[in-house]
Amino acid sequence: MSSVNEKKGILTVNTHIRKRILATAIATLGATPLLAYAQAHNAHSDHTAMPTSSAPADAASMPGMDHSKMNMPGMDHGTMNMSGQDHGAMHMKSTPATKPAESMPGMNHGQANTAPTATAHDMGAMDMSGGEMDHGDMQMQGGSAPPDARDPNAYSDGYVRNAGKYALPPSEALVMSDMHNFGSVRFDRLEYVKARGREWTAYEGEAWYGSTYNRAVIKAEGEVASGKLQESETQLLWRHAISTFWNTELGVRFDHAQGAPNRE
Amino acid sequence: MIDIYPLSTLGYAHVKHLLPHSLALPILPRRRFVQGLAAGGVLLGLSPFARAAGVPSVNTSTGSAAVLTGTEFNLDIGESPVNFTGSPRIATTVNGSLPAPTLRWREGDTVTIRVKNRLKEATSIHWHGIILPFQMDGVPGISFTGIAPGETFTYRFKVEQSGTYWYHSHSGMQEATGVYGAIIIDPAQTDSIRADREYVVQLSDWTDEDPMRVLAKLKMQGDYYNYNQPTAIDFFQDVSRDGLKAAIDKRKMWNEMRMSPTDLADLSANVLTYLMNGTTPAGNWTGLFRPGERVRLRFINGAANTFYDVRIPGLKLTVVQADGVNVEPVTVDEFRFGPGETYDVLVQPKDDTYTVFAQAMDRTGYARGTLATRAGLDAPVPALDPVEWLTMADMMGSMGAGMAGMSHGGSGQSSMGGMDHGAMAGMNHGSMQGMNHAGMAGMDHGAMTATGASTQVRHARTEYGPSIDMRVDMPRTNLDDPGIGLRNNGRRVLTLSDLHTVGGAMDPRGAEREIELHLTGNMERYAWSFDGVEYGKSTPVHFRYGERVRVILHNDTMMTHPMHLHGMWSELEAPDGSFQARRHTIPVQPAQRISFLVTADALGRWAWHCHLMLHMDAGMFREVVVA
Repeated sequence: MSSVNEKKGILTVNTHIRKRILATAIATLGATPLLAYAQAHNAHSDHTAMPTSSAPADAASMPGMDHSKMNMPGMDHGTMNMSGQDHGAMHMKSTPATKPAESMPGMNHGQANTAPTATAHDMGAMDMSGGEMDHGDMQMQGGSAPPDARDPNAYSDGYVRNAGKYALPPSEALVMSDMHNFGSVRFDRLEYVKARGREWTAYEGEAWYGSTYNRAVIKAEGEVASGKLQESETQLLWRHAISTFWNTELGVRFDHAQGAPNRE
Repeated sequence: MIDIYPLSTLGYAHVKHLLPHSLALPILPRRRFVQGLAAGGVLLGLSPFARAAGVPSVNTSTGSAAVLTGTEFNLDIGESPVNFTGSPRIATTVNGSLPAPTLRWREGDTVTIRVKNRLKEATSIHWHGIILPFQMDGVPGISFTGIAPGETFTYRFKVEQSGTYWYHSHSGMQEATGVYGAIIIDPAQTDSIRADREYVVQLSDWTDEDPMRVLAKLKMQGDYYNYNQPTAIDFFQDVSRDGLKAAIDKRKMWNEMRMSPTDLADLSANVLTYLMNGTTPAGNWTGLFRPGERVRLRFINGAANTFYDVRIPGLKLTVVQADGVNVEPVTVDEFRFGPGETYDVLVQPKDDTYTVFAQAMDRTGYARGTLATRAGLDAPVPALDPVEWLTMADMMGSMGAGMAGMSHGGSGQSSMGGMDHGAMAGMNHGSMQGMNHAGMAGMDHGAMTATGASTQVRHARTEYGPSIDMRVDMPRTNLDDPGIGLRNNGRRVLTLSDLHTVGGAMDPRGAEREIELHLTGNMERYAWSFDGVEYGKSTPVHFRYGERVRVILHNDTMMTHPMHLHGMWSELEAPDGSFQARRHTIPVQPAQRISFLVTADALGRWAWHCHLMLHMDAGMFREVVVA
């Protein structure tokens, strides 16, 4: 019994606290998506702002891999440049490959400074000599496309789906789940307490509906006591994916509390 | 209102079904009812389900399928009840059989197949790996309009090839729910592969859940079915083996990439039941032989989601055919194959019993059957191999092979020999912390020869958005890696580099041009695509009619994708450009970059996709126009 009373006490306190923080929360909500967007672009990385999962948010760097220091521009074996590392006088510049090099028998960097023999190591056009090793480019995730990035439609030569030669009309188009909408309802908290003839209910959850990258989201939490809504916070949002792990959310929020003005 | 059919009746129906070809175990051992269910050998029509589905309560035949021969075939696609787990479910089946009947054709014949749709939704049949006019290829929305409920579509085409193939629905999730069967095409001349006896061994997977619901769950949470997440115990084991720092670094790396080292298959035994010829492991599909016989096993991976690692303890497997095309025989202990691929192997069993063991790549379960000299025998079933974490080589290609603290369990890079690290004294490791230059040896420079595929990685500009969770800048191109979980396991495991098609390439021309496409995805969002662009937003890939074109597939994900190009052969080449094997489905490993040549001799529109069904449906799918 006493625990029930305590519970009630907590609820009451919560209500007061919440009223006080409402204003702050509303201000933050408006700002966060923009902030997130800006950060994501500044950092050229996806590891900023507004986690969708509980993963740590400070992941702009990747210790242990440390890409910021590891750049091998383009990772292109044709023009591989490893110069920032001191290879001594290791020159393997533009030597045409003479045999398949699934293995590199005898590859010995120590000897590689006898440059001409490097051909035998079949390094192809691997350039381990001059130039500065730029440690800034290589990122396995995020980033923005370089200007010379490949055009994803380059191979179509103007062909489109469901029109033109051999095509079925658009009414017969193949539609797969990438064009379907999915939905989800999730409750993080659903409590019900009944004691001394009174009832309390608390809920907190989220529902979404939409595609992979654009979803309508409802987030709701609130408390009901004796059949009356004591307080609630309901958000209606448009969730838009902006990068690998980050979404922006834009929308409206409606707050309701007993004894306080409703706010939108 | 529940109709439960007496087992004896069912048993009879089953046996009768098998008799004409007598390939499989002629008499099912009598089992208790529940074991019978587990045995998946047919079973009950549960009226409420059947009624709900609007179909008559027919018996569904599972296990080795009937063999239909000739040039005229009638296939009825309908719903029928099955029970693989103890929970009755409705499958989509062909002629009431799961797998669908085996079709036996002869090279040079013209076959006519009438497919009637008794479902309430549209259906289709795709003849996987068969060279035919595009209108007969059976992809709704690309080759034809599909088969509406109640309608019959007549497929007719000349059989131009021989070997082991298969067919399946290309509509919705029907392939996952039972519409798949084997095709055997006998050569017009005598078969150069001689065997005393042969069996189709068709592997598949079954889920009691609605596959669309499975996809919806993965959309909610990409690792929903991954029960092998790293644990505290794993951590302490790593600490004791590699030291505290390495163990922490390893976790840090995975956490910061927000990727899971154990997400090998999206789905697991938690939701899948692994089947061999439509039979659960408890059901123990059995093929009989006489000691000393040469037995040809036609392995077909007809699963929707599962890569299988197949071996028969005690027997060497001589691989003689891949994807229906004969290869120079190569003897191995084990092979991995993904959905869509087929391998024919010869074995010469001498003892009484052998287990045909096919464990799922993620090591959560297995399909299993038995080769035996008489019915009712079984051999010991091996334990599942331990789960192996993906290595940095799987994430970053050749660059990652040497990342300190991340290479866990050997890498497949067999090319480190002779590299003298000690001599790299002048190298400034300080600026590359955490990186071990041993990995550099894994870089495969072979592709830089004049005739090989270009190795310059060119990411599409659409690979820098939310549809992508990783890009590989320095892929591995070697074909001799058996893949995660099979490296250094003490067994001789088949790799792509072992495959050499008999007679060489079909077209002596070199490539006139290159098409580079990247396999991409975002596991957290459960999005899959080519170049970061899902099918719905994509444009077709144009092959000019008659050209010989090189296709480069570069895998920017940490999963293996069995890539299936319809209508034309994919002639896999080694990194140096030398011809390797003619395939219809090529598995591309994580961070791997492979290339193959295509002779664009098949006018029309064709599908090209990852044969993992959920990846395909999520958008890893392109249309190809040959014009």
